[in-house]
Amino acid sequence: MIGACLQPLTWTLLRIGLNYCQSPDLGVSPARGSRLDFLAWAAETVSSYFVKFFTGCLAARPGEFMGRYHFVFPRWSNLLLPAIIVVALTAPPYVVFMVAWGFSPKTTDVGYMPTQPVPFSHAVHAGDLGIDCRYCHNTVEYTAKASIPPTQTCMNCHLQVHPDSPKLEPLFESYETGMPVEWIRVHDLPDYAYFNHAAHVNRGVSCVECHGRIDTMEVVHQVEPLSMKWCLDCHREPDPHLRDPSLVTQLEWGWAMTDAERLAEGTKWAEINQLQPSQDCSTCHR
Amino acid sequence: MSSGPKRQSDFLLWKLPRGFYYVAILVTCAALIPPALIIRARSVPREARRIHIIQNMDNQPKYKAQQQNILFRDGRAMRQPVPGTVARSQMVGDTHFFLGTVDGGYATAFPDQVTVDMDLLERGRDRYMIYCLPCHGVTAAGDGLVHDRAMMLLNLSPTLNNGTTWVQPKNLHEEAIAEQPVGQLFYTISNGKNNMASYAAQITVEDRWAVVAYVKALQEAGNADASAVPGADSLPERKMVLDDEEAATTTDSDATEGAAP
Ligand code: HEC
Ligand code: HEC
Ligand code: HEC
Ligand code: HEC
Ligand code: HEC
Ligand code: HEC
Repeated sequence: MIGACLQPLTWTLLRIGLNYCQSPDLGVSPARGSRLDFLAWAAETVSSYFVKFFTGCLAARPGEFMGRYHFVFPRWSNLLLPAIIVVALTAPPYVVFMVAWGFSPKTTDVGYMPTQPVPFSHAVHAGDLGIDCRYCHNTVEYTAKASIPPTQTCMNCHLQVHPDSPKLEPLFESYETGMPVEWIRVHDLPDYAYFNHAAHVNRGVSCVECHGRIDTMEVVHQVEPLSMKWCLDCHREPDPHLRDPSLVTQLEWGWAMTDAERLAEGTKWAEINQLQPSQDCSTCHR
Repeated sequence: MSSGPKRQSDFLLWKLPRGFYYVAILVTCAALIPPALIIRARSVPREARRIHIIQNMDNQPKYKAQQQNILFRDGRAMRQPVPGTVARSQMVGDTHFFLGTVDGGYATAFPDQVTVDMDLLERGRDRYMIYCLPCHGVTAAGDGLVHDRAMMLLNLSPTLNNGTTWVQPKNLHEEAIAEQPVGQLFYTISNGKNNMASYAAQITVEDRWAVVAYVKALQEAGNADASAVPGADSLPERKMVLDDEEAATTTDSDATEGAAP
């Protein structure tokens, strides 16, 4: 169809071009006289093309176009219908699935791992050196926040250990000037959600349930989605996640237990501490 | 198509113009890109910021703890109290409880606010294991993991250990320290001593007294006679450094008696 329209047009343009090249101004053999003649001729050719085109369209019998082509749908076009049906059936579920899968917090939030100003390694400090989480995050048992430690806490050791390390440069600068080290926040709930560390940690929910094996991470990254569904899943069914409140910072605890043993242990502590996590909206949205 | 012999297959698909194949292949490939990206995002930690489609009230115009506030020169949203401010909980009128000193000398007894009992010692052990263990070790012999690591670093060249220097954390069973009054131990924890930093910011006053009680119990246990332990006959001879379990059992039985000054 498109080819049928374009073919005469191309021919016309080609002919105009050829004639132009032969026009006297260019010093080629004068086939058509002056340039004015040429323009008149070109205008006539183009207009005659359009006249031909439109009359061709109007006068055409079905399947006939500009008196040249007899257009019939080829046999393969029978395939278009099944193809359209297949596309119509797969595309919407595909889009829905991709949006649900791709924009779930498990994709967008989990795995966030910003580069910190100091390459601080939990694997070295909490893992190899066995420093308890509360040595640094020492407000975790008393307040809603598990604050990031102040520079002084690092200086307890680093005035002596690695005192010239280039990696610790921002830390020493902070120590001298009193300006804070600008750690980048990893876990961040929306401001309308209220979370409390003390309420969880003192009731036997370990850091590992929400932050993963921090003590093996070189750089902290988010492991859980921190979505409302995730919070509620545990508030509805806390037993498999509970343990002795004095073991909350022992992240590797329980790795050798079977699921049944782990559940029994959790159930025991749920009973001892009378735990009934609330599902009221006002617990977390206040 | 029954008429005449045909060389070509009748199957319609083979008669499609080439362009259709190319478009179909392109579309299929394009459709595989999103799942590939999603699988990657789900399996590899990444530095890219989180995407939140609907940001309603995610970031409200308010400041939470430890956030940045560019209005202030130091960038802290949490303001420091004016120099010289003393909160009521920090009033040091009661020097015995808050400073561990009585009439300018170290207190020799626990203040009235703390009762030395099993609960206090349990609490003390808990806190000791958090704040003192890395340097002073389980038995307070000055052999914690940080000490071990620092000694390893000392053996390296200064370019590798970045000029590390290290003073061994004191063995708290030393004669000179075992003799110290409780007030002096409390004072050391609160204000540090030579190369040891102050732990006042990390440990509350009550907990510091609990640690003191536990350290006292440890010292007592370190020098205890094996006969003090129930079933002592079955135990091997006393070692300089006790195993964790041994230390724990010994302290438990000795604690109450040892801690009362
Ligand atoms: C030596 C001090 C120290 C110890 C011990 C320590 N941390 Fe941290 N932690 C830090 C510092 C500094 C940061 C901020 C830098 C970073 O994110 O890596 C941090 C960050 C974190 C974060 C991310 C906070 C955010 O921005 O969302 C989590 C979660 C965390 N720590 C959990 C733990 C747990 C669990 C343990 C115990 C296994 C632990 N930490 C032990 C110093 C410490
Ligand atoms: C209880 C002692 C202790 C505390 C507290 C501590 N560190 Fe360390 N840190 C160490 C030791 C020991 C090493 C050496 C580990 C090694 O080289 O194997 C180290 C190594 C490091 C290194 C690697 C230095 C290098 O050049 O290789 C960095 C970075 C670091 N620490 C950051 C911090 C920060 C930030 C804090 C405060 C949140 C902190 N540390 C608190 C004991 C400590
Ligand atoms: C029930 C789940 C849960 C447990 C258990 C938990 N955390 Fe968190 N943690 C969170 C959430 C959610 C946030 C983000 C809080 C926010 O954005 O307000 C967070 C944030 C943090 C932060 C960043 C600073 C802050 O407070 O916002 C640190 C550090 C941290 N946690 C350390 C710890 C440590 C150490 C433990 C164990 C002693 C622990 N957490 C136990 C869920 C948990
Ligand atoms: C792994 C299990 C677990 C997860 C995950 C969890 N919680 Fe909880 N939460 C508990 C338990 C257990 C309690 C204590 C219930 C009790 O005291 O009866 C609790 C209590 C609370 C409380 C305090 C109620 C009070 O008594 O003050 C709040 C607020 C809360 N959770 C918010 C959250 C939010 C927000 C999240 C998600 C970011 C979350 N929790 C995720 C187990 C969990
Ligand atoms: C255990 C704590 C908890 C409870 C209980 C809870 N929420 Fe939430 N809710 C959250 C957290 C955390 C988020 C933020 C999730 C995120 O980061 O997307 C949230 C998000 C929301 C949002 C999403 C807003 C948005 O734009 O995405 C709505 C709406 C909401 N909650 C309503 C409710 C209602 C209604 C109830 C009571 C039936 C309720 N919540 C109970 C923790 C809770
Ligand atoms: C970062 C490592 C470190 C930590 C953690 C630490 N100490 Fe020390 N401590 C030292 C060092 C080093 C010395 C030796 C100081 C010197 O004489 O230069 C010391 C000395 C002492 C002394 C002897 C002081 C004297 O009179 O000579 C006592 C008592 C003591 N520490 C108690 C504690 C207690 C209790 C804790 C836990 C709250 C603790 N230390 C945590 C490193 C540490």
